Amino acid sequence: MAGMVEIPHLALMIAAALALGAGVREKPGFAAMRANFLMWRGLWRQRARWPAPMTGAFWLAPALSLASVLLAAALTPSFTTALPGAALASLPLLAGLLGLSALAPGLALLEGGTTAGGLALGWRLGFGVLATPILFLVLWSLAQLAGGVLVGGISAEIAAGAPLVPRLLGLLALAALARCAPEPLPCPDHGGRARAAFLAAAALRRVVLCSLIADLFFPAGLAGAEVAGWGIGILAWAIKAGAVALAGSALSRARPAARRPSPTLLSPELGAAWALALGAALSAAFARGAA
Amino acid sequence: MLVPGVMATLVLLLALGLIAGLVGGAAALLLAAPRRWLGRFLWLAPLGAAVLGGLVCGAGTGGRAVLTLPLGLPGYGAVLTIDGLAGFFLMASGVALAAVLRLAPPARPAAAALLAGFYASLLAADGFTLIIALAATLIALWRLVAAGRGVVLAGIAGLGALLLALARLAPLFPDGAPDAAFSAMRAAPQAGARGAAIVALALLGAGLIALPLLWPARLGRRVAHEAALIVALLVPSGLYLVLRFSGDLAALGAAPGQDVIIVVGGAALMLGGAREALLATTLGRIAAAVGVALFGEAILACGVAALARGADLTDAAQAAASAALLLVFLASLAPVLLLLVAAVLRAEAGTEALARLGGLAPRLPFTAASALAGASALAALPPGPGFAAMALMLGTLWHLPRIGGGAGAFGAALLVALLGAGLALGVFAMLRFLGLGFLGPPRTPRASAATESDRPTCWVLGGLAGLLALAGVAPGLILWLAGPALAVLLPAAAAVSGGLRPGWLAWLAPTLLAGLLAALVALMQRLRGDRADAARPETAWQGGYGPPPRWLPFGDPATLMDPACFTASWRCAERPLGAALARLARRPRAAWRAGCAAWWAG
Repeated sequence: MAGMVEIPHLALMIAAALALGAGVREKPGFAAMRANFLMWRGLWRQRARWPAPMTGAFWLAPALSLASVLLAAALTPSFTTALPGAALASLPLLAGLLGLSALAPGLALLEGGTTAGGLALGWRLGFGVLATPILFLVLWSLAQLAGGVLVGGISAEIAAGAPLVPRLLGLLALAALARCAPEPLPCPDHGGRARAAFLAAAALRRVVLCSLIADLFFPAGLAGAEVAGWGIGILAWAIKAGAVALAGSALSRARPAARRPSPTLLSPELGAAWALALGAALSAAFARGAA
Repeated sequence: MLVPGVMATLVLLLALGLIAGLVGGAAALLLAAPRRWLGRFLWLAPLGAAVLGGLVCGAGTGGRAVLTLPLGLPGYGAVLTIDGLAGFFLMASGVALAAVLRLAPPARPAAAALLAGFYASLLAADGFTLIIALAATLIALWRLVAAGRGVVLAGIAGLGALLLALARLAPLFPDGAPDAAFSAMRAAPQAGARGAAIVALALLGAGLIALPLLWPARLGRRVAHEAALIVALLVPSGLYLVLRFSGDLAALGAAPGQDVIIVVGGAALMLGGAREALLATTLGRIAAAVGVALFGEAILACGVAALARGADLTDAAQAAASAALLLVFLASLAPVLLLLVAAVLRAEAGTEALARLGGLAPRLPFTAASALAGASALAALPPGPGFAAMALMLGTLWHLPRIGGGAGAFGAALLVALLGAGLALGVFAMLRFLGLGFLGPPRTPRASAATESDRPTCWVLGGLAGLLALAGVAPGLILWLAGPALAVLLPAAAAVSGGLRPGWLAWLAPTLLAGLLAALVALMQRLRGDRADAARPETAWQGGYGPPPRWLPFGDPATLMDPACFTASWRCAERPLGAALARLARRPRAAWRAGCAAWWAG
């Protein structure tokens, strides 16, 4: 039975990602269902483009990006925590798989070998160096509250009532990070199904991230192994993940346009995210010490 | 089936025979006639040592046989044994040394003496033998690579620091003479400030001995094979000394303050190495910096294990010590592999400079795959070997705030943040190295005409890369082999659970995940539909620039990616921080104002 749960879970995740599809291509947000359908159909039928000097890494990048985020989606709980891979769904592994998926388009940019690609990739990787400690601190504060790094365990512990301050500070740190984060890597010079794979990976990554934030910070409604609770779980997941996605979209839209081509990676929002993440980690440590 | 005690004695005698053979080989290499022949087969000695180490680790017979030789100080013979820790280092270092000696056999007596001294230092079970064997190793290395005066002086100072640490560790006989046997030192562990001083001295000694390794700018300028020999020898030597002194002789986590010293030292090396790997522009320097970063990561994991052990968190200590041993394996192999790749590129593409490489993946596929395996040791992404070690360590860190109250919580948070920064720097550096070195269009005529290296070189690179890939896909195997070494570091935990071998999850999970990932990638490649030859050929999008003119067949340099453009934004981010730190030392108030201004101006 546990193995069968994976099918509706993955189907829901993929359906949500396909519904988000055109929003990833154009700008953060949601697009009409018909526009989505037309885009996926067009990309599926389109003939691939084959830029002259490209090699295997160029073709491998979309497959690697989509495969790693599919694995992450299979491990991240959506409406139930009773997934077959629950024993493997640890925060370091999910962070690693999502990071691999986000970096795979970089392989195609590197294969292009242009100055613009190098600058774009260097900008995002440099931001990643400054942002990874913030993510680690937030995840670490949650692991302390729950006494482990497994997503299911953290959700259960927080649902049972964990201190509010570290969770709130962690959420605010992630919000500050979302506001100053650069846009995802530009979709490289692919066409046809390879391009569809890139877009699907970006959309699925967003769905997995929203589901993960919903699981870790708002675990209410998350079902267990009992089939009876799945309906409510699906509804709760749709509401929570949708709200997180809307909030993330609003935050990235609220980003000042003048800051985008800024020559430096540092920003006041990043400083605020650092301070909030440190606060979340310390308050979680003290809350655990008091307990 | 041999009785474990008999087998341990046999293995020890074989190792002793290997050392004696190497000493004899060094003497024979003085003669001109057998020099070429002996030099050509010298690589078999470290390979044999690796097999012996693997036998000790696999069979778990470490430390069961002790041999006292009629050599050494008056009335005090040299004591030799192969415990789990020595066996693991024999195995990890043997493979890397064999690879280097196979590709560039130095037919000189110093090479055999170097190996003999190194293996004697791993087998030593008393302080005198350890120091004498280390001195012999260092003298041979200095002779072999023509070390400068500074390195020699640092090595002598390092040996002095280790002697001081041993003098503080050694209990006294009734007549007042120190008992230099390791077994006596273990029986009388040092606590308090004395224990912390011992660890500080041991770290200082290991750092001074490994000084050529910790200077990537200078190491990167050496001939790649020579640099690979230095790294293959000094990384395991330095890590062995740190683990033997802080983890075994001074009892891991026994003295307060010991763990903080190790953690601070490891974190500084990890961050410094990863940053150097990111900003360096030649492959040799990047490989040397990877060695420093992995060296630091292993020491950091050892420090985390000491923190956890000091607080009686047995599971966390075991996981962190396992991560440290896995990182020892990676640090022994990955930088050597990258330096050998650098040697291949210098021979085939004529340069190691990233700005003059590019486009080598289709021309040197075997070398590119080897470079990918080496880079994945530092870039901690699944399913690479670095990820397994980092996941083990990250799984233990949430225990740490239980230690030390408020200051402990702040220190642990800082450690987590630094670890995150170090991992991200490693990923950034390795992606830059692979992208600029092997992907993209070739930037010079020589790079465009490069061809794959000869078959023996490919075999050696493939062997090292295969072992690294195995550590990523099946880290359970390496952790299983590291079990006896883990028992040396955590004897109490080993006694309770009857040995420290990994659980089923460590065996199954990484293999399963790697298999699933590979299957999904293969499926998607199949679903892609368009075969490359059926696709629509086009010129690549040049980032908004027009096509290059015909007299620039390798592209317009102004539109091509180069090492500096890749790290431009990172350098801009570093500048305000560096300026603020520099001014902080001179004028604290002005520094604060300038730092704030630079931050907000961004």
